[in-house]
Amino acid sequence: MSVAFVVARRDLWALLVTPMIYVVSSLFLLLSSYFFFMNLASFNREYVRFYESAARLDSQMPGLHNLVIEPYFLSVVFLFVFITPLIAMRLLAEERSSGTYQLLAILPISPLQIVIGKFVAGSIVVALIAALSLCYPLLLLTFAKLEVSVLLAGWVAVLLCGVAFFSISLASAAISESPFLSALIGITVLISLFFLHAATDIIKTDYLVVDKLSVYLHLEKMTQGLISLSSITFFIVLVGIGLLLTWQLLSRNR
Amino acid sequence: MSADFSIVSQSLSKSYGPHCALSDLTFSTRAGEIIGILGRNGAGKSTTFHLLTTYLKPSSGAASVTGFDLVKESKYVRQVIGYLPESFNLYPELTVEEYLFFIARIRGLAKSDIQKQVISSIELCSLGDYRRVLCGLLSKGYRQRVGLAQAILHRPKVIVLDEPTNGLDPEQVMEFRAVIDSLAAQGATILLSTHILQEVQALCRRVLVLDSGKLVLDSGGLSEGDSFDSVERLFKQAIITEPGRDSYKESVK
Repeated sequence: MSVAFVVARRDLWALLVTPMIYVVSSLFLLLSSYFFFMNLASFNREYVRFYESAARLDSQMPGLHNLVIEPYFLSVVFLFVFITPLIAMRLLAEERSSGTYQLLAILPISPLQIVIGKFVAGSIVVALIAALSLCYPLLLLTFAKLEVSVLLAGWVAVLLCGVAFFSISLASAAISESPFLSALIGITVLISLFFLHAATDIIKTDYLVVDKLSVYLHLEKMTQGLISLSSITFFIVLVGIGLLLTWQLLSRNR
Repeated sequence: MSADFSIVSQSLSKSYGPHCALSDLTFSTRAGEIIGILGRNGAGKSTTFHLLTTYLKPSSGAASVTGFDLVKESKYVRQVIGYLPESFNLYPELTVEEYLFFIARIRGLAKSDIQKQVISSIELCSLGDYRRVLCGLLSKGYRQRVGLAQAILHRPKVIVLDEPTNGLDPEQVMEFRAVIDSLAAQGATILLSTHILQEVQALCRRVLVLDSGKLVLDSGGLSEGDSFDSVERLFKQAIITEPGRDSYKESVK
């Protein structure tokens, strides 16, 4: 496995010195701040409306978690739908199209070690970007009362989902040597996974099956602070499927 | 397969669907030999190299490199073989030295040997002044040198070079030939593919000619007195005697 970490270290360095990752991170910060402050503005409007209406006597005002943090984390994960295929594209598809992979592939290193190395490097970058998403909730925490455990559960959901998305993106990057095509395949697959729950409205099928496979519904539960074994298992299985597919695709190409 | 031979290939074949890129390739090599592989574009030279370096799996046949089977012991084959592909790229964000350290670590060289081997390869390929230069900033000739440095880094017993002097200036070609000679003198078997007949004449003591995926000539050892004309003649004869090459025959005549 030490060889896999040699690959991981090189790939991490390659990602950190590339301007693309800083452009992507800046866009991520910009868009996530937009989503966060839109949610906060929406909360303020709800707050004013609630206290101006008579309904407050019978019901309870939804909290910051429901109106700000939960939709914010869901929108952050939606941004990962576009970010993770770009990282995977940079790590695998570009390496294959540029010809650097050809030298790597003839070294005494197995496709599995290459996949693990790239997965570790990409996951570290995903975790760093996910850490950036915490800055606005932490800012809110300084002057509002938030449950840290729920906040943490939401962030763990973002992290797990980001890593799972990266794993799936890596498989799409192994399908095609064209960086553009691999990113397009990755984004298409992830959008389908993200909105799988919407299929229940269209096909009117067994709701429970789709419920179990829906990224959105697992995320929704976790951002509400409900970390269940089934949700964690779901994301781990997604990671496993992505890695297995990438491994098989790279092995087939040999 | 005998341990006396560095490479033993028995009826090695590779097909891509209905297209047969290499058919029934049988040959063997000994330590210290420099073998030129000649052939027109699409003759099967690169496919042969891809098979011998385990980059591709053969469709049929068998081969071994220093006694290790290509398919069953591919990991060991990769450890004893060094390969400079025809087209490759280096990681642009790494310096020459960092790149060679990276390759050495992946090759699993002992920590105590890495520094020594990297420095030795840098010196052998005359890269001393460029060791701290980013690979992305190197000219084609120097990238080729780094490619050669990574291929010989672990002192392989078999070195496969696919069109290695492409893009090199005359001085670099001469330096390159000196490196090849010294590696062969140390006992490495060198397989060299090139379109430049003079290069084969200058370096190789044996020529294999491939045409349409088949081995059409194995010269055996060329004698010291053989001239460039003899390699050219061998090449022409090999291609002309191949059936179904009438148009080419005419052009050669």
